[in-house]
Amino acid sequence: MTPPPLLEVRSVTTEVEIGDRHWPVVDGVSFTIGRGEVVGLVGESGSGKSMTARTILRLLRAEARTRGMILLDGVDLVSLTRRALRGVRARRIAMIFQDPRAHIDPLWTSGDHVTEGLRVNGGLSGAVARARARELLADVGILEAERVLGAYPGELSGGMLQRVMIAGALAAEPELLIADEPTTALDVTVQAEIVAIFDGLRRERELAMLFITHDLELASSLCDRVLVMYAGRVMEEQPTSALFSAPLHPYTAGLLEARPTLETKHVRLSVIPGRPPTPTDPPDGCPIHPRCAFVEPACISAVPPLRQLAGAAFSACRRTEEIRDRLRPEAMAGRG
Amino acid sequence: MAEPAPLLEVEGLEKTFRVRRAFSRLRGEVRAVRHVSFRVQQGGALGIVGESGSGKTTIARMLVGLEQPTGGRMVLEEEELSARPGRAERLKRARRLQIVFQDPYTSLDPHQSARRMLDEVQRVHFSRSRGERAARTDQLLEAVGLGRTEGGSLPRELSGGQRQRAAIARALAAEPKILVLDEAVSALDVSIQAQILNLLADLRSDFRLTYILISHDLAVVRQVADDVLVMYRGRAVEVGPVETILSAPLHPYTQRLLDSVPRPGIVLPRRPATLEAEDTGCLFRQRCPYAFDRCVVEPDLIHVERVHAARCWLVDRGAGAAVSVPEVEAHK
Amino acid sequence: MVAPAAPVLYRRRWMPLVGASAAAPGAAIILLLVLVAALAPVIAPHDPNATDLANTLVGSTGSHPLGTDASGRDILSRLIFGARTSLLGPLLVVALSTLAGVPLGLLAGYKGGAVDGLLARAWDVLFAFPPLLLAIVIVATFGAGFWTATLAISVIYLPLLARVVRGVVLVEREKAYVDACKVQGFGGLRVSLQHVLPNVAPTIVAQATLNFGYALLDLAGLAFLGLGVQPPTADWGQMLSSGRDTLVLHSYYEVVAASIAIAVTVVAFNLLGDALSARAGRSR
Repeated sequence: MTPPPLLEVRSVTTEVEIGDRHWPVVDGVSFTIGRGEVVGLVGESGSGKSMTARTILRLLRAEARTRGMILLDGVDLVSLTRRALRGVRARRIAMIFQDPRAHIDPLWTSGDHVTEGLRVNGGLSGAVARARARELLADVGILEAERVLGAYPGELSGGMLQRVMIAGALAAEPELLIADEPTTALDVTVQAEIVAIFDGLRRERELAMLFITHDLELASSLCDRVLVMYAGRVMEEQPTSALFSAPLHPYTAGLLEARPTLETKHVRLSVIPGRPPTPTDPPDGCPIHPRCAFVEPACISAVPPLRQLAGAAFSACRRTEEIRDRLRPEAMAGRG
Repeated sequence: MAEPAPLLEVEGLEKTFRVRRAFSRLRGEVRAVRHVSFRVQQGGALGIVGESGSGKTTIARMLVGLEQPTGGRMVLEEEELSARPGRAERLKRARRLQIVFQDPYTSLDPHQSARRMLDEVQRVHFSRSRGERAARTDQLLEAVGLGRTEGGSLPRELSGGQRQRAAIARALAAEPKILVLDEAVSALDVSIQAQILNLLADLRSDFRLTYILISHDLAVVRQVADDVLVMYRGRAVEVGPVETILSAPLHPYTQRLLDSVPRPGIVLPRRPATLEAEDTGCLFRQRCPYAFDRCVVEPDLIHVERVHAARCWLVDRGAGAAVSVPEVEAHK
Repeated sequence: MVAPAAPVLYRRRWMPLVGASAAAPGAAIILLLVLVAALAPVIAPHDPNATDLANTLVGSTGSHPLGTDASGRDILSRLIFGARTSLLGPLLVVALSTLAGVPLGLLAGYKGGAVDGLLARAWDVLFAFPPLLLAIVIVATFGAGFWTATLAISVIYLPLLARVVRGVVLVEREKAYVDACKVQGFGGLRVSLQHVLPNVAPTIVAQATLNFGYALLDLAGLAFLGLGVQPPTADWGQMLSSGRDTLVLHSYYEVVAASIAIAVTVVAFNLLGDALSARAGRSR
């Protein structure tokens, strides 16, 4: 029997205020994350992936409204008091962001940043906290820990700073780490190093992760399972290798096809025509129908639900069973 | 057999920035571009690849006159480009070299619609009547895939992909020979990126353009470029045809770049981070798994074939390296 | 962002000109004041300069709702006519300081380098003086009166505005579209006037609007000191001055009326200026 999941997101919808109305930016999203599991949330801009992450930690503006349940070990985070939520944020769930410079106080040294949580929440003394900080920096691969601890963010490179951010996030020994596009602003070699750190951390500490990115290939290298989001909804969820070899949703297949590859130059890249919808102008029925090559009238009349297929595979396409063979990369390559 | 004269020839290009900052531990000088040379043929596409600090963006800016080189020369159509161009020279250069920037959200004047922008470019460069300009504007908008409404819209009403199309149209309006694409698709979503890459391929043949593509994304370089220049900390470390460089690179840094491209299920071993880098000898030796004693002296670009060269002693048979290039290949 | 349908396009383009809810109160009050000033001969119950020594310092009565001043002139009429100079003065100050300050700020911000350095030094010198003191010195040198006072305050506001302009130009100059213009070979004049200036204009307009209120206060201050508008011209600042003398005699109307008029006007311009500032900030 599989152990209960660490995090369970159940039909979560988040609406934000645009103009004078509320519009959903996260729409009926459900998924689970088990202990030590790395789940990827992939989508283009406007897909709702970042908002989903913020909803879990309730890092939303006051006017935003959330419905649904977010269970951390059975406790619903949506209905927690602010005080209890702070405890969760301090000890159980940590988050790191895309641009480390925007999230670290430039007037504090890295040492201050990493030890802050240890001192304030953990109650450790200055010296003990510093020793612990040195260990944490070593965990993220920083050799000259003492020098880095004394340095200000402005003196450190983006990659180094992101490592410091991760160390700071780990200080509280969280069970779940949410990483929102943590490597987007970094060089590709630095990105590979950061991914290696995440991989090591999850093995050594059984750290569960929610890894948010727009880069499908990046998600594939680190994540056990990947969810593909579009217009606030989950389009597909599968174990990583299955998603890449046999996508179930035309959008996923389209994303995979649209990427140029290292191996060959394509005469023409196959494109997904059109643009993602804005939150204030959602299409009827399936949100991607205006851009989908497999659209049928039934796709427009009702929103297809996310259905579970065999095993751990989920798809929000009505026609999955019918078209899945045509979605395979080899088959797609033959198309325009 | 003689090769035709290159359209653009860059020799020994240098750019050193002087850093004058009061409260910082930074050194006084930053050598952003160190003696870089390359050639581009008419109709060709050169990809310049590197990470932050490689100098690739500085090279792009020097080509279009936004930065002044501190050394070396740039020769376009056998005419040397001046390091300190005057007004007339800038106008002349604009008709030959144009640029598309990375960020679609700041590269368009928020106050100008695409139509007005294209009209302005034409008024500055050409003596055409208003009717002729309007006709040409229509042509350009159509060529980049913008409709009538989009052409008359302000940038804030356009999506990232549409803005980038407008930026490309602006560059084309000056009728340049060379288009410098400075990470021009990096800020776009995957599905939009594919559209723009297809567009760039079409424009290249329709307008007989020569491309210089600056990018950190190797797959994009593969898709667009014929030849590649790999930059590391201001130095050209490898140069050659795109298929060769991306499938059988010679320089360990190029290899590292390729290894770092994310692949399903594969994670590289952890590597420690260092604060400062050496400035003598081979600039990559601190991070290089194959560094040996000879590396304290920086190699020149050593040619393996006429078109493929790498700045690495491993390539030089007689250098006394512990491993040779074939063994490096086997290690992979 | 998806491009909106055509009708919405036009609405969006005109939005900067139409008052949003935040700008409306300020704008409404200002409009009212301008109307009062323009229609003064029609609205005012009496000739503002008509003295009546038999009825000096009379309290509120039917024919003099705000009473009379030390020379028997109707305070309400003087208040209404006073709107003219009290609005004209700041208008001139803002116009002059903006017309001169914008080119200087643009030049300093866009060109940078030595030109910026020189101009910055010049402004620093002007800033070193307490503004009102400087104005007093100028007025004292050239004689008191509406025009000298207005010019003096304009001189003081010039570097203020130029500095603001310089600041926003510095930021705008770094944006990629300015680089794109340079790569197109556009000259500095074209880039700074046709590309940078329109994009910094909202900030300049907002600052100019705020300056109106401050200028009114400064001009009123000078008039209060007897260095601005001279009697017998009706002017709110001037009324503060003459009203001060009668305070001892328990006649408050003149001072209070003028003070309220000044306060309301300044607040109105601040409201409008703040709303414009917020709009300018959002559009960046």
